Amino acid sequence: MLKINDLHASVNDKEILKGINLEVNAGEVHAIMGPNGSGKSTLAAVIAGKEEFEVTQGNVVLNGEDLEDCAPEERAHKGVFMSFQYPIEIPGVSVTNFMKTAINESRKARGEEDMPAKEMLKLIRDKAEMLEIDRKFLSRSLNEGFSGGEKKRNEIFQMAMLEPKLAIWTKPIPGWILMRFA
Amino acid sequence: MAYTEEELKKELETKEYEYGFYTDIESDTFPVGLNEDIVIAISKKKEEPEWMTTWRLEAFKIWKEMEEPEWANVTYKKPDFQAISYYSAPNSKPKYDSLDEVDPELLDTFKKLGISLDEQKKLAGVAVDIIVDSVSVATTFKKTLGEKGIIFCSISEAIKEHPELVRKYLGTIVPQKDNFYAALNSAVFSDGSFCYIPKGVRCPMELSTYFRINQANTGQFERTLLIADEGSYVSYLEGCTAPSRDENQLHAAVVELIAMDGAEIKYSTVQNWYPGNKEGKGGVFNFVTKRGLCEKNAKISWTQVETGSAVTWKYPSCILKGDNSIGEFYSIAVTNNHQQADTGTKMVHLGKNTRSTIISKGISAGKSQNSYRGLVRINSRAKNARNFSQCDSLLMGNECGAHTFPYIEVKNKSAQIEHEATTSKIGEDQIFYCNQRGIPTEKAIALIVNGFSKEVLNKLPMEFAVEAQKLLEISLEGSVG
Repeated sequence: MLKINDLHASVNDKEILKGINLEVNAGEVHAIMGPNGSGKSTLAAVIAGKEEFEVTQGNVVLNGEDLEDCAPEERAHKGVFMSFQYPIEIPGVSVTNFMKTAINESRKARGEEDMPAKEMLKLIRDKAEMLEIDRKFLSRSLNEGFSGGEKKRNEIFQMAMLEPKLAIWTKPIPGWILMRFA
Repeated sequence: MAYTEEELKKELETKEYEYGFYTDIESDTFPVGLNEDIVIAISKKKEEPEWMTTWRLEAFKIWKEMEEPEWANVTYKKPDFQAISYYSAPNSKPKYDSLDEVDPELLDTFKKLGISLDEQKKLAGVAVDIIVDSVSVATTFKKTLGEKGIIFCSISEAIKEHPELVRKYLGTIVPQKDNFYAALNSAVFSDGSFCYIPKGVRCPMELSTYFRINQANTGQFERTLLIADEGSYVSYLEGCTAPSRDENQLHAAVVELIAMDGAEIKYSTVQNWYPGNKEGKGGVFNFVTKRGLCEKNAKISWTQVETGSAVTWKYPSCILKGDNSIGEFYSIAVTNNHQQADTGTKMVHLGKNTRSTIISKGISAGKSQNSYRGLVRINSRAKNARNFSQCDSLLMGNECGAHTFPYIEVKNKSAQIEHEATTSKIGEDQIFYCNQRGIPTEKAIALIVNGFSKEVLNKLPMEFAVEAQKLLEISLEGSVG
């Protein structure tokens, strides 16, 4: 599903990734370990398409498609999900509203209509129940004033809502989550 | 590929004014310049009684002695007041019984602005008094309002039909000598709206006015007088767009609100005058004086969404004269490119147990400068007065500015004043976070800005909130379509 070929990437002319090769098949869980500053987060950001990293050699292929010319949102539409080590706060935008917008933008990109409100509510309810998330949590502003644990849980909730093909986590995940998602 | 801040900035710069068209309607325009004869001519043209002409002349005399203020945090080339024409009215017959009689080109203008004048408005519960270049062209639903004893008409009409009310209240809240622009407005105001809600009446619909500058080089001097008698309630909406012109256009309006004992006035504005092009050429100068007086147990709530004008100078204020009266100010001010806004409010606490709330949201992009300037004054007699102020600024890019000038004067020890302020920036991180979840950059900005402005947007009446949200997106999103 994911194929990384001889990937070189640099930031401000400093090479950080020096020829990464990796193949991940559907259903597999890969753990990439290494000391601080060895480029784990950079690899994740490059796969997600973060602009500040420049790919100088090699490529990232998702389901046979080279992602080089894809904007981050296009990669998301193709099923790439990256969790943030430090999820960003967006004041005044509720978790629900954010998810609704994200899902409908992905649908729009696929040429589909917005998800009907009823269906959206049901999806939110189901996923929240599965993850034992309090519904009140969903109407709070995105990541604003969230505890570390709440932020992480919110990232998991978003992943569950978006149902990505490829999920990248850049920080160890508590065991109970691995149990559900592995 | 992904977005950088540079690209975002470029996109914001290329955003063009959507309502920049010009309607070719024959106009009856005065020669440029201002002197006593012009003031008298305006008054004559409007068939005003003598007391009105005298009042205008008094104002003109005061204005001549006054200096244009310079304390605001804005820089612009001062208008040449002798190069402006002070009266312009659409040439066709100014009043109509039905829409069929209205100049079709004018109706087309309204259509472009998305204003529907037909029966749907009634279903939506909106009565509209539209002002195109100074003269009220169509007033609807006067009858429905009339049954409740509500008067809603142009100020010119009110001067003729209800002189006792106009004479009693005009200039009592904003006197002729209040400030330079108020004096100018008092001398040459061309038209505006008048509204009177009788005792104990709850106005059954939102009253709304659309302003529009149409003729090049014509100053627009609106005068609005709104009186809510004891125990009454009214919600008033004011919105405007202006066509694209190269010359700077001057807009100096005066709005006076009177909320008698136990009355409540909700006054909402969406302002979208032409902001000038991306080099900062052209655009409207918007120098407005808005003030309301609250008697005992009365409440005045100002809500404004300011997205337009090259230069804005505007401080909707409340004089909390009566005990237990309440003043509120909710504002969103957006500046882009070279726009400059110096806006805020004054809450003057005179009565006991008076309360005021100020929520101001400033959004700056491009090379614009956005200032909040507010005064909270607690007089010695105002026991147990309270104020809460919150001023938040959102910056986009590295070349814009956000400024806050809060003034607090407290002369009574029992007062409680709170002031909170934040400044934040739409960061690449926030945008990348949205992108990663599948939200494109434009949508992400709209989402962030709407979230930032939510507390104020929530205060707008429904039909206005939608328009305001759209305006915010148009003003900031960039090249949509």
